[in-house]
Amino acid sequence: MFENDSLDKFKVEGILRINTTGFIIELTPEAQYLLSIADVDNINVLEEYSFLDYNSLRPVLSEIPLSNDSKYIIQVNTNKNTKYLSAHFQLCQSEDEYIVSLYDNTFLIEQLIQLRKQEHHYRLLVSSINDIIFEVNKEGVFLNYWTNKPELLILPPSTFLGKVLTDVLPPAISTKASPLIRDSLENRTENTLEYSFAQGSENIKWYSLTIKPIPDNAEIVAVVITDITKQKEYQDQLIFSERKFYQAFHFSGVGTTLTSIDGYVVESNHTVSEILGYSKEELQKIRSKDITHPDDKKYDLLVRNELIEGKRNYQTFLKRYLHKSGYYVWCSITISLVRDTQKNPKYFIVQLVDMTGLKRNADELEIKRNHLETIKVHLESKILQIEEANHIIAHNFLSPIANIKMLIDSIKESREKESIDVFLELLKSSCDELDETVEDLIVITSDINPTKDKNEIELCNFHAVLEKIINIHNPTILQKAATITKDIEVKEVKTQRVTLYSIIDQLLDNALQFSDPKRKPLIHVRTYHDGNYVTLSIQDNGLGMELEKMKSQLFMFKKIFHRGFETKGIGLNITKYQVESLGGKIDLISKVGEGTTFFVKFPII
Amino acid sequence: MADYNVVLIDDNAIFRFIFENMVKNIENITIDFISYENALDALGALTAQNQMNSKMPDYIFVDINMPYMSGWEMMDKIQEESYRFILTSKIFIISSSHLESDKQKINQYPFILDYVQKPLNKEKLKELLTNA
Repeated sequence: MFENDSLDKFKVEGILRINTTGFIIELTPEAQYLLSIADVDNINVLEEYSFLDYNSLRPVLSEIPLSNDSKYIIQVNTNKNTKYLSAHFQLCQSEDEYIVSLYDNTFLIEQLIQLRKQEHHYRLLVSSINDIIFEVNKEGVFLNYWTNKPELLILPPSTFLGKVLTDVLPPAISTKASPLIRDSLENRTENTLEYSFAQGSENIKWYSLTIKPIPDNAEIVAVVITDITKQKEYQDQLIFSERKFYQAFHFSGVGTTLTSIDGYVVESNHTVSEILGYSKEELQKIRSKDITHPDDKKYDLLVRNELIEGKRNYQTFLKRYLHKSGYYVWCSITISLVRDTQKNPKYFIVQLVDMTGLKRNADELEIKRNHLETIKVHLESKILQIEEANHIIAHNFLSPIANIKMLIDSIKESREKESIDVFLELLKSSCDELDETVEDLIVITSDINPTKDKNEIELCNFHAVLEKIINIHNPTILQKAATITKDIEVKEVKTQRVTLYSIIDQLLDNALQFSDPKRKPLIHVRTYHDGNYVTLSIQDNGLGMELEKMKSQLFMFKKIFHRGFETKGIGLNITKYQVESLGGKIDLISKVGEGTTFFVKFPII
Repeated sequence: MADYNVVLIDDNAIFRFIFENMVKNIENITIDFISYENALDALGALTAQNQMNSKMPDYIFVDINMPYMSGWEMMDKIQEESYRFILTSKIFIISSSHLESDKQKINQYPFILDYVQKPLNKEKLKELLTNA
């Protein structure tokens, strides 16, 4: 093995002869050392070593072209290190061999390779940035530039390299940039400047120009230019949407507040002030719960907690706020929670709508509905009365007419004067019957179509009405030795006076008339509250009725229940209509031999 | 021996008189006629007859609108066990009512032969008695 460390200390030049195919013919010991060859026999240098291009230092991968004056770098790998040899090929005159001079260039080549690598890294680095970087000296002269996107350069490099910034850029930019460059050099600080270029009429491009001092260099700065058009547009949109939010917030017809998590009103619009009476400044000093109705606090708190816990995104409900003037205002509120980017609760947005008006409308609607209900009851009772009138016509009115027709036929057929006289007498009776029925019908129909003043509702005093009726019936009361007792718990009722009078009159008349001859009549009149009604009851100890049999027909026209009493039976029929026309109800309990009690329920108006 | 026994139950005395005059003057038919001014009286009398094993009337004409017990209430009674013997008679409803509700109501009582509308004449009555 040819080992001579002393040779390492010199820059050694070696020479060898090879044939045109690369086989070594002869070599100097220096060359043998440089090529680290132990045995020179049968060695082809073109195959044994890596050849690098003399300029690019890249390995030559294909067959190595050799000619006179060829220059390569030969890479020699030993187990210790790597050597780089400059090799110069000279063709002999015989043209069948080359004289190769070798020179160990390891130190320089290694540095060069290192530099090439660094440059490569820089290129990679630069290619990964979307910016343009300029190197500018303290006089403002462009020294160099790097960019991954040459199209970003508005001007070709030749027009600015080596020139002063003030000659290249528009004055609006250069006058600002020059002092910043000096500032960065003197104070080692970074400065940024934003500017815009109009490309065409509408397309405005925004750039930021950042001046950075370079470490350990007091002469040169790096100028980084970045296209910030997108960010600018986004920023504009942000400003625009902020403005929109501002308008939506402050000029909304819906009262809106931003309320902190601990309940203070941070911000509110004028609609809130209109609804609640407090100014914006006053609202900022009070907590929402301080002006919430005590009964609504619990639910309000529950909703806020559920929002914070993320159980719901928003909630709409009705609650009462204390108005500045001391009364409560019904509001429909929609509450939602705003969180920051870390999902932490930031504040509540509470939207309020004053429901007082709506509530008033709802109340009015309720009154109207009740009114309609009364009208409906009226109409239903009218329909029943008309049906009843139909019934009266069918049975009580047509019956005498049928008789009259048949009597006329009989008269026509009769030959004896006596029988004709009988028929004529019956004809007269039938006409009387018809007349009577017509009168009854007039009474009933006048009740179906009552006159206007009869409809007037007024406050009626039971004592006063009873007093008058009892006076009228006094002869019968004295004759039958009847006793009338009163228990007037409810003194007054709002109803139609004439109708009330007629109802009580009829019922008292009934009680007196159907008395039991075996005992003195006892009549008890009572008024009392019963749910939504004022009830009037008239109890007697008279004959009584078998209700199971009679009740369905009790209030029918011309119904007679007691033999031996000549009444038309029209009374209770009308009484029922009258009670129903007042929106009331009539009912009774009765037992044969014990008496009857009528109950009249008047609606409380 | 009369051809038919006919009963009328009607509270109107004038009609009872006219009806009686009519049935007694139908040519070629002899009719035994009894009338009652209310259904209670009629039911009482018919029950008594039944207890004496007397023949039930051939025809019973019943008015609707009567005091104490209407014609319809009497029809309900007849369907009860104790009055079912009356069903051997042919029963008519006789009324001045032109209301459909009244006319249709006979359908609830299959044993009612027909609804007879007042006024009535001799010819119609004869037709009813001979055809039924």
